[in-house]
Amino acid sequence: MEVGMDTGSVVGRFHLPPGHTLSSLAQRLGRAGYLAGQHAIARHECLFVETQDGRLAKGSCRLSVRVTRRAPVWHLAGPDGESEAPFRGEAAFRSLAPDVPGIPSTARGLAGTRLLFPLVRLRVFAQETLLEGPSAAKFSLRAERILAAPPWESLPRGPWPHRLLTVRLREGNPDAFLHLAIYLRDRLGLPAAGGDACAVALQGLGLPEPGAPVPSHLQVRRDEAFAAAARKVVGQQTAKMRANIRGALEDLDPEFLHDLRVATRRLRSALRLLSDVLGLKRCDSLRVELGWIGQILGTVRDLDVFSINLRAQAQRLAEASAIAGLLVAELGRQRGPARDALVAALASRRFASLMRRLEALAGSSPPRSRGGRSGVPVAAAAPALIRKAQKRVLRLGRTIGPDSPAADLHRLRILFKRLRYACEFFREAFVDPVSGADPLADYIRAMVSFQDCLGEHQDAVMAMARVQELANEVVRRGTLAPERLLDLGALIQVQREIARDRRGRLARLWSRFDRRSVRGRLADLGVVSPPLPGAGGTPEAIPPEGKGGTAG
Amino acid sequence: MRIVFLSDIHANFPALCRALEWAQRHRADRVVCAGDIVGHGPHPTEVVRLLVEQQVATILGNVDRKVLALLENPKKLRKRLEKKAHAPAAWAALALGDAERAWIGTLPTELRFTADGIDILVVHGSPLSDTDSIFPSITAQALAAKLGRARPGLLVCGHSHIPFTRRIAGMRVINCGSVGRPVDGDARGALVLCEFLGRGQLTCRIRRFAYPVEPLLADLRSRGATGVVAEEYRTGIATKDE
Repeated sequence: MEVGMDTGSVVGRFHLPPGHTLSSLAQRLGRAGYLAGQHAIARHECLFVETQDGRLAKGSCRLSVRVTRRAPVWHLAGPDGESEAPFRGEAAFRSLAPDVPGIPSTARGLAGTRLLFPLVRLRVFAQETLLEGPSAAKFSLRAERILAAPPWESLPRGPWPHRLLTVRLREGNPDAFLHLAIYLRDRLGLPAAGGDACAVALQGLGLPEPGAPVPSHLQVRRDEAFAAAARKVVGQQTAKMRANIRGALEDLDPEFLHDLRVATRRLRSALRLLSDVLGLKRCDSLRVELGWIGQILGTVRDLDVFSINLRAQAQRLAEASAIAGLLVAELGRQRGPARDALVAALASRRFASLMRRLEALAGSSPPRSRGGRSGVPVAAAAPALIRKAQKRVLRLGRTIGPDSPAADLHRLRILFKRLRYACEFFREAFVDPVSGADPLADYIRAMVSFQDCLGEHQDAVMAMARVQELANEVVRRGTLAPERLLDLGALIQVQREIARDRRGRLARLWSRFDRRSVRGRLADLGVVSPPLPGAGGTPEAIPPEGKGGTAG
Repeated sequence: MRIVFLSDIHANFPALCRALEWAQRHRADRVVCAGDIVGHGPHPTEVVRLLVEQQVATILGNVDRKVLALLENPKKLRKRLEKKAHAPAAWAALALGDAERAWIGTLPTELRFTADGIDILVVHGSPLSDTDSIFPSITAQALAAKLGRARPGLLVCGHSHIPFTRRIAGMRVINCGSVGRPVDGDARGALVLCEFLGRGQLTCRIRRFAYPVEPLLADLRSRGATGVVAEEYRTGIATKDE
């Protein structure tokens, strides 16, 4: 039923067109045998908060600081109903730790260690009434007029741009709810709303939902033409980039920067993989620009990751904690100029132009000529593409042993990333719509384990060189006492042990990935290679290699 | 005086809503439905409630009659769902509420009334039976055989889902087509607007109206209505004989 029903509780949400009020609705519904009670009126302002990855929304919860005539309160709306707790502290906050007193324990549990950020500010004027249906079922009807603004702006004056009707079944058969929902949709012509007041406000302001979930219009379908799907893939990743720019600019949480970098990387990979249906020249030029911003993002992110790793390792190595602290401070000093460069880049016209070009590509119409694989359905074209990437991973991976050079492992990691991204770009097209079974889930899981292990190995290798550089720097400055040099050696030894340990794990993880049953997942996609030029792993079919690869 | 005749809604609520809106917009004084209000579509209860709410004069169609017949033996309803021929009616019988079932049980099989001095006979299939069809190609002799002794000025029928208006042997014959399940290659719903101009003068026009198909298909899927080919709603072409 497409009336915006929540799972768990029976709730329907509709946009309320201008001219419709709760009274006029009650009157129309009265003709169909529904009896409405007295109206209650409420008015409040609220500031919704969320984690960077939208953990509260994923747990079907909305947390807000609500200001009514009384004192401000924490308001939590979740699957178990609504609750309030007193709010203590400053109303204007940049971010909050979830363990702040007053935050309901459900929200705290969902947020975990993540910080909470202001998401959107609303002023709501609500009217509510109870409704009894012809079959004695009881509903609550809530009509809301909503004014919205981004959290960093004050609420505008003027007309209420958003109007929302929420219908909740209070008592009775869910069928009775469906009858009412269908009546509202078809008879009264109320369009279904995509979510609650917070979601409607975000949509109206053009702000992304927390965690930047893929919007439904960008979801890749099994039967659509490959050229159209390729544009959707670009659109998905561009939207992810857009969603994380502000957080990265303001340094709200390192995860904003991480997600922005990952989206950049995925976009580069997508443009390489799908250049034949997106336009070779356009893709090449966009990849150069993405490489530019990716490098700037990578510099700051690498410092962040190294700093986080050093702190964690210092806890393991008690005697080296002082030297680790010294190195972390040095990294902090290096991060300043790197972040300045990042802020300048993200605020530059060059970056704005890149975003515009990416959005233009995502919104462009697929070519009319159906040559190559442009017109081939995703179900036929994607498996061939994935198999090709898999072949390259297998070719190199089977030659890797415990003594393989670090450069080979790094190369394998890059190939793994390409394969993983190819799988993830088209993953949803192969999910069974009825059972929800995901045939690529196990395959991707095996890949992620191996890739993570390779990543940790690479981080350790890089860290060894980095610790050496930092040591030289602090010795040169004279901020390191000679007796501390041994601690530095201990720290390098830790990296060496990590690298050795990860190498040791590789064979076991590879055997989990390179297994007939796991490889068979691709064959089970049930698609025969389409008759494409170069399909089947011939050298001409392999997309041209870029200099930097997709990693980085 | 203006009367809108419609037929064969087949539990398609969005289509009925648009049909009634159309009638209101064109200032119809009365709306008359020539049967087959349920069966096939996902909204039997909603359709019945709306017909009651809007006081639409309605007669029984063959599918409505089948639903009533199936309800006489409710224990076998689930089994009937598995049989292709009975599935749509059995599903509708299960989906209907008690009040709606009772209302269908009160419907007449034909309707006779006079408008501006013209005798009108409304039947579902033909005056012979609700499963007999009147097609556009019918001859005067065939019509006379179907009419028996009745000689109305206007004969209104449905059932075939193919709309037409004809004057045969001094009599006006109209088939309303189908509101909710057209099969004549036009996926839009059909109805007939009759304008009574006085002194026995009458104009009848077939009108088509579009309605949103996708919400209907979504409801078909989510409610699990059986025995229905979704593609028919998009194309307006039947994939099997009625």
